[in-house]
Parts: sequence; C-alpha cells; structure tokens
Amino acid sequence: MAEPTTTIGEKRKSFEAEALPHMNALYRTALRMTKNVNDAEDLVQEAFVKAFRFWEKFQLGSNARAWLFKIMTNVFINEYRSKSRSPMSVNVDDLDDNFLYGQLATTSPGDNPEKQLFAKILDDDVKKAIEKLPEDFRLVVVLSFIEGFSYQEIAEIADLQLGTVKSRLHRGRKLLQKELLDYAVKNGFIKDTAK
Amino acid sequence: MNCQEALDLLYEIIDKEASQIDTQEVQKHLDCCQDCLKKFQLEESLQALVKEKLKAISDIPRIDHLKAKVLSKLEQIDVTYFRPSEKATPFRIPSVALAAAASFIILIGAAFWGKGLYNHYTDYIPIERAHWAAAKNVDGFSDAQKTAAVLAGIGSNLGLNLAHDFKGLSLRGGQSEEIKGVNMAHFVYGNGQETVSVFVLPANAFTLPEDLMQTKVYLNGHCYLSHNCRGCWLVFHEEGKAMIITATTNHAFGLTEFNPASNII
Repeated sequence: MAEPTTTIGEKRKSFEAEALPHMNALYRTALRMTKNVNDAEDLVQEAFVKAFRFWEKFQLGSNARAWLFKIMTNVFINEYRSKSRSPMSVNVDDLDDNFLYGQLATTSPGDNPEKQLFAKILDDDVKKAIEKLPEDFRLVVVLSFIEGFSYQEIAEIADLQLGTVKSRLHRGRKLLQKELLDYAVKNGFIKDTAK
Repeated sequence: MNCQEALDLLYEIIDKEASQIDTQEVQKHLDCCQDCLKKFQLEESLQALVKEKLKAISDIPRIDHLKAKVLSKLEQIDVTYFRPSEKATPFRIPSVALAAAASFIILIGAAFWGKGLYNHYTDYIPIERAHWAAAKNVDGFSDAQKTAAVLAGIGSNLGLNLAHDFKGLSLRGGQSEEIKGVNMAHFVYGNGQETVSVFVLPANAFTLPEDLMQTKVYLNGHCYLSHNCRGCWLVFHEEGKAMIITATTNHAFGLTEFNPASNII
C-alpha cells in the first residue's frame, strides 16, 4: 500500500501507469452494460475518479484490472442500473441443456449443423442479443466472454458467490443461444421446428 | 462418468475452470460417446463464435477524448484529496461488515457517497438481520412448542403447510417476529452448515418495490423475484395468500428451488 507521505505527484504517476491502461477494457464493458456511448463514458469517468480517490487502498502488484472492474461494477449497480431499468421477466424453464443441440439437429441435419447457422450471424446480431440479456446475466457474460475473467474473479468483481456466477453464466448463455436462434429462425436461416 | 455428469461439466470445461481430474474424466467419456462429443463441439464453436463477434464489436476506435476527460477530472481531485476526513472503501470488506456498515452510513446521511448506495438496500435490512441472528444462534431459536404454534398459525391463517425436511435441510425452529411492521412467521432450516430462513406473511401486508421486478424469474410455475442485498440473498414469491421470503447467505444455494411450502387450500 502506498505510504501516507506519498505526494500527489507520485500518486498520479502510479495511477496513470497502473490504472489508465485498463480504460479501453472498462469502456467496452461499460458500453455493453449501459448500451449507450454517453452513459458508458460517464460510467468510466466516475469509476476512474473513484478509483483514484481510493488508490491508497489498492495493493500495488495485485490485480488492478479486476479492482477497477469491481469499482466500475459498483458504480453501475448503484447509479446506472435503476435509471434504464425496465421490468423484464426471464423464462428459463424451457431452456434445457440440450435445447440448442436439439434445435439444430432437427433443423439442419448434417455433420456441422452449426456451421450454416453461424456463417450468417452478424456482429451486430450478437451485440443485440447480448444487450437483450437482463443486466444480472449480461454482467457475468460480458466479464467472462469479453474480458476473460475467471469465475472467481467475477465473483469478487460482482460481489457474488461462485455458485451464483456459475448459474448466471449458464442461464445467460442459454438466453443468448435462444436469442440467436430466434433471430436465425426469423430471418429464415433455419426452419422453425419448435411449433 | 455418464452423459449427464459430463454435460453438467460442459461449461466449466469450455471455460477451463474444471479441475484436472474432471477434465480427464470428461475427456475419457467424450472419447467413447459421439453424442456428447457433438454437444461439446457445438457449444465450443458457438462460444468461440460469440466471443469472436463480441471482440469485433468491442474494438474501440477512439478513446483519447475520454482519457483527456478523466485526466482533467483527476486534476480537480488533486487539489481536494488529502483532507483528513476523507474516507475510502478498501477493496475487500466481508459482506457481513458491509451490510452492517451500510445501515450505519445511511443513518449518518451518506453524504460522501452521493446519490448511490442501494436505495432498496435499506428496505430489507430488517429481514437480513433477522436471518443473520437466527442463523448465528440456531439452537437459541429452536423451541418445539413455539415452532408448532407458528406452524399451526400459518396453516389456519394462510392455508399453508410447511415441510419439515426439504432439500436435505430440516426445520430447526420457528417463531413469530415483527419485521418491517409486519407480523411474520420466521422459520429456519438447516443441516449444520447451511441455514435458510423462510419468512411467511400475508401477501396483502407486503408490497414489493418496482426495482425488484427486473429480477423476475419463472420456475416450476412460480414467479420468483430475487434480490441480492450484498451478503444476504433474498428470494420473494407468492404462494396463494402468502408471501414467502427465503434468505440465505450462501449464494450457491439455489433458493428458487427452495420452497418448502405447499398450498393446502
């Protein structure tokens, strides 16, 4: 931990060296979470300001990236979540573990049923599907998929138990698959056999 | 290892979070099970696709202006930072302390936290407290006579039966408590390690705030609302005339599957 006698100049220097390089990563997660550029920028700014204030508390040499994400996640949950929240219900009953496999196997039999589906899905479709996820699921999916954090790191960042991280990631994936599949059916990439 | 056991580990394997032994066992299974192998491959390629697409949309072209904004904000902080009254939150605070601290901070006005700090947080602190207290002293809580009386009470008032054993946990005790101005029946289930509090109260005596509605989940024909109070996990759901609130501090415990109540009307 930094000594109390550390000058402001030294503090700035170490903060700029250790924390600022992570801004890109924080910003891309902020974009997925807030879904718009203005809020994402505000969120990142607020997170960095807070991080700077608490910089003495950060153990140099430990994981600055995870620490910054934890701060940003806190700011997001406290200040952004309620703003843009709309009531949303998630039905995970009908999403069993084999659901995607079953769908693809019946819609496009062959060696690589997923190939023809995947080839047609666009970047933007995945973005939309991710942004449709309820926030709690989206957060763990983004932290895992985009940022590559481990379950344990996500648990610390989002202040969740390991089991909750696993189950949210699991459900998040299922919901994401369902979105993508619905999209593919809607656009006629695959036939709808669900009915 | 059978198919179900292998599939249960699917995501942990894909995420490289499974133990070495599990990974080897699953590999052995996949070597001889075409069906599972296909499922694993499908999930893996879907994962790869989603990750690749996400990376593509996550490339940020220009962030310099944001960096400049942050730096100029830091300049402003430099001037005011070293005030002796300034308090900072350490990275790791045990959630127990956090829950306790939160109520304290709210009492003193929360000035330096600004607008944030979990508005809904305060709402359920009494429920959390009751759960913590009961969980800490399960023996002090269990009184066979009291428990029986409370059970009979909710039976006649709300038409609910409560199971004595559920999901490997057994009913340790129950009593009536006034929480948030509502008279609730508070039961504790435990197995020596885990404790789950089950609060039962008349549904019309309790309104759920809007901000919980986002966490609505439908399972087994029931609608659940779950709420993480940082340190305490609460799940709300209605069962006939009753509102049931379950609380645990072990988030790994699937509360939405923990519903020991059965409607007898």
